[in-house]
Amino acid sequence: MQVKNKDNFSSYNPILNFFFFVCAIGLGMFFMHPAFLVCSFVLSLLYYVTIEGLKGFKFFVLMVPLILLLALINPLFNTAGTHILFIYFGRAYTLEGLLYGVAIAFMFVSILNWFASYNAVMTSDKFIYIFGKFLPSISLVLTMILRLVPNFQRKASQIGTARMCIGKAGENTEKKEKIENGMTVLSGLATWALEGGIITADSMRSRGYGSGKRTNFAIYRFDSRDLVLLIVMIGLVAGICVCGFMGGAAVIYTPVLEITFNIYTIIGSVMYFCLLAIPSVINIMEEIIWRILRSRI
Amino acid sequence: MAHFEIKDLSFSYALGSGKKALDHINLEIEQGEYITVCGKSGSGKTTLLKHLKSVLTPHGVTEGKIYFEGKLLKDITLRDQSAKIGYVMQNPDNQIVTDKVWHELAFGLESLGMDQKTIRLRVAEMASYFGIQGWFHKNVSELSGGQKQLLNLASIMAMQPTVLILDEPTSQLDPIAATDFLNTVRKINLELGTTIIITEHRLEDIFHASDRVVVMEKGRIICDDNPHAVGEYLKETKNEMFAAMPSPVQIYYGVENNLKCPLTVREGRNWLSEVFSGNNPVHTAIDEKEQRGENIGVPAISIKKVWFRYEKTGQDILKGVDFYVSRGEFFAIVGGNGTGKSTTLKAICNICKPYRGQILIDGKRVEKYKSFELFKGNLAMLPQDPQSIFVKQTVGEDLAEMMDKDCADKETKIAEIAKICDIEELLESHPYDLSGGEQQRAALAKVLLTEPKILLLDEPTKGLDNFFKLKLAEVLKTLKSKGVTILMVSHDVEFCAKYVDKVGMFFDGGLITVNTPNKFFSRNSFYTTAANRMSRHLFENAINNEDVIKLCQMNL
Amino acid sequence: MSNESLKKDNKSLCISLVVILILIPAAFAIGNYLGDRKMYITSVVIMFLSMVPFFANFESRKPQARELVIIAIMCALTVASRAALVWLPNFKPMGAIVMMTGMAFGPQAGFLTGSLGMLISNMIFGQGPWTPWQMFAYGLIGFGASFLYKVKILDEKKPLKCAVVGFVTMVAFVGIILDTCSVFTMAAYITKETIWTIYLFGLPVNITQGICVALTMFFLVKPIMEKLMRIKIKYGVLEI
Repeated sequence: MQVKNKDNFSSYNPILNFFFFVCAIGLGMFFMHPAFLVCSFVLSLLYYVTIEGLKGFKFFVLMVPLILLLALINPLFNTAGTHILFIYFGRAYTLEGLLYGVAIAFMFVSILNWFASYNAVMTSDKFIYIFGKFLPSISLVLTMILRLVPNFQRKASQIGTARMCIGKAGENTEKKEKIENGMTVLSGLATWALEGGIITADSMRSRGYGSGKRTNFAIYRFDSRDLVLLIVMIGLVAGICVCGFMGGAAVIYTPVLEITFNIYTIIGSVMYFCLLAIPSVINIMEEIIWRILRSRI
Repeated sequence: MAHFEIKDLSFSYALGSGKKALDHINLEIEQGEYITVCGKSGSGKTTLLKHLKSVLTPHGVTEGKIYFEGKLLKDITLRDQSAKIGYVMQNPDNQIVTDKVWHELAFGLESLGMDQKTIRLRVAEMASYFGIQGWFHKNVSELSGGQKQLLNLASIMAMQPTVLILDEPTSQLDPIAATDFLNTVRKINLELGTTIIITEHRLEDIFHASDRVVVMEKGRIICDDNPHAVGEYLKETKNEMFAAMPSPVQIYYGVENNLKCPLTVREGRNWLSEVFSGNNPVHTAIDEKEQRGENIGVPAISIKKVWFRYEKTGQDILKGVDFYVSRGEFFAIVGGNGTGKSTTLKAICNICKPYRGQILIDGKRVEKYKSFELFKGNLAMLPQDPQSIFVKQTVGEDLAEMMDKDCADKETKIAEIAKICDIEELLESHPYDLSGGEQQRAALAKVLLTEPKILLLDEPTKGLDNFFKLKLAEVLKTLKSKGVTILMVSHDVEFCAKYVDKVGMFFDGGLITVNTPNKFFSRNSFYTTAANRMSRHLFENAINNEDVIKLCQMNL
Repeated sequence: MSNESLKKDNKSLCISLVVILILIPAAFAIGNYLGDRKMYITSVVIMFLSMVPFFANFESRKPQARELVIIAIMCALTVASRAALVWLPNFKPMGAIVMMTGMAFGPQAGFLTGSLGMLISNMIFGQGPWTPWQMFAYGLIGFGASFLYKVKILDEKKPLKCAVVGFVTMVAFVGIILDTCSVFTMAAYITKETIWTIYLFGLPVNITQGICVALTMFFLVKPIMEKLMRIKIKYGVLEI
């Protein structure tokens, strides 16, 4: 059984959702320091599991070979390093190179994890809500495309079926015929779509599109809890940036491994941990509150 | 002050033959009126309605004036027109702009530049009034046709128009959704006092509710009066439009009497009782068309206990469908939406493959046929939306696509089929420039070029007006006379009652009963024709208007 | 051209100039300062910046309903085109449709169709680090196709030539851009060796994609262009 948990971070204003993912992915690609990498990896996985349940674990299991592959292949391309593990075809396979490979692999998988959560949380309408404010026409086009795509898919299969039933297509035909047939379906779909579009354009103008200033309606609200969380997140991001700028996350893998460890590393990585933990903590807290409420009944 | 005032309006299309699409139209519409505009396809109904909103007015030469609330329409700003004049079009799908129900409701208000708070309130109001709360957050693509059209209506009503113009709003809906929709329109008219101007093929649901009916012919208004007077006028002038009147009206004028003309089934029933003034008629049944001998040879289609579902864990769509269609028979399957009618047709075409049971075409299992054997000169299906079948730039090219390149008598074959389907003059046109009925026949022509012995039709009368239905019936009769077996899925009870040999009722994934239309419809009490519903207390098996008229004449 | 639209054009021109002359060099400089590990972020920033003028121009012009509808339809066709080819799994004709849009409706429509089409496609099938790269690559081929059409390198009367151009575009341009994305995200060191390896690994995929686009171009460029021309007359839209 696949357990899909409700994501409570999603119920915050989309601006916060989007801001969080931009920060998590952007900073995640930036920091190569082991402490930061561990934070990003662990928390990205945790969050994905709180959203998707078992599916999140499966996703991780699928990632393991990728991690190994990336980690093992990278040293092949870089022979720099002081600790040589073995030599192949006269090239050195170094420990530093391997460690760097591991770091890159973890970074890459964390990014994929964050994207996986992004795809679950940031539904198309949230994305459009965010960009609707400063790109109103583009975001309108996006909503229109999202309406059309399922329509076109349905129509494409109808045209395919219709052609099959007059002996013009089929599964058991040759490749050449299949291609020609697919092309005819695509061409028929294009006509149908473009002709129908004239009515859509009429319907838009009939409902006042282009008659003056346009506003953007959204069903999302920006509450005080959103404001509080946003301030916290901005504060943490600023703090992390400062620590990074002061060299708290500096690390050199090759040719000699040099990992910085100072006060900025500690402050920076703690703040980084707090930032990335926000959605998971919200989800876990909410779960606990509900358990308590339910147990009182 | 009239709400709309049209004075001496004439119009001809820019790219036309110079013929007038509208010819000296004069019409006054009062605030709160419910006006039905009817007429054959191409009589200028839609052109007239499109003139009532400047952005929709087609290109061409216009003469005359239109006033809206006392002002010249063209002097009223686009913004005011958008808000005050609501316009619902025919196709439920293409009118929708955005991907979410809530966004669609707000679209017009956004265009008018309203603030967040006002839109929130208006959208909430509309969702509640139209009962949309349940699907407020859904994607538009998940809605049924009826829901989509209701959404179009609601998103226009959100702008609080004073007049609502509807151009054949229910032609793409099934009868139940259509009636629901028209009832909502009626409710808007009664509760909010919104002026309604509507065109429709199915006059049954709106004729009696109209304050006035305007009949158009060749761009002119030939009659503009209350429903009773219009019925009388059309009868007296022997106008073709009389055939589009609701059954009670048609029957009334077929029977000699001095009573008031009934408009609804209820009135019709009472009227019929009064005609016989309490006496029971002597002749209560009409002779059925004689039954042709049953079971001559192998049936054309035979379906044996077929079960089907789309996904392994999904619900069964077909649950043991079992019936056969004899050679040369015209068989109709009726029944509600989503009962599996269309899936049955797909199963016959071997597109949906049953997991249990057998389908035999001419006694041979359908999956044993090679695709080119099955669909060349044997079986063919006309899809529900004829547009699915057009892929070329002209009807002629589309038809030519069906012929093998080395076929010698290509031209003659196309000409022959074009003649049967009455599309000879349309061969040069773009398929999408044709009217609904013409498209349907052009699509049928394309299907017929495979020279099928068995023809499957998926709701062929959808969106057609009575005259096009009549033409389609002619074509189908010709085919039948040539020995083609026809299996039709339809919602159109009246059409089935009139033309088919056998009717089967589909429900919950199976064919419940099969009978001749006469027996089938006279035994149903809801799922039957208006003529039958209004006469069933007196007559046994009258299902068409003609049957009732004939029986009345026999008795009186 | 009216005064007002001139003004709007000036505004979007200003935005373009600011982006091209100041912001993109600035991003390069910062990227250089941060070192080669930050190539991905730098390049994504540059790509977004280079898309800004197109979007800004489109917004400031207040497009008409018909223009929005045409772009939305062409994008949706791009995304849904795979559904039309159910019997041919992995056949992706997207690039061809984007190029034809550019040919018929001009550079802006071409760019928007390519970039928004990819954005939506990723919204449906899942976003990833590749999204900005795909938006950029497909946007540019839509943009470029309109110029190749004007100088008659792309010509609907010569489907074979269009097919060749389509193939070359996919292999030499789109493929290279998308592989660069892989280089920046997966490789630890940006050296000649890593770059060549990844490009070489990507080549079979790029060639397949190129063949799909070439075939689509070959079969469809004539009929689809005919249809688009008819629509241009019917909508009364010349160029977007």
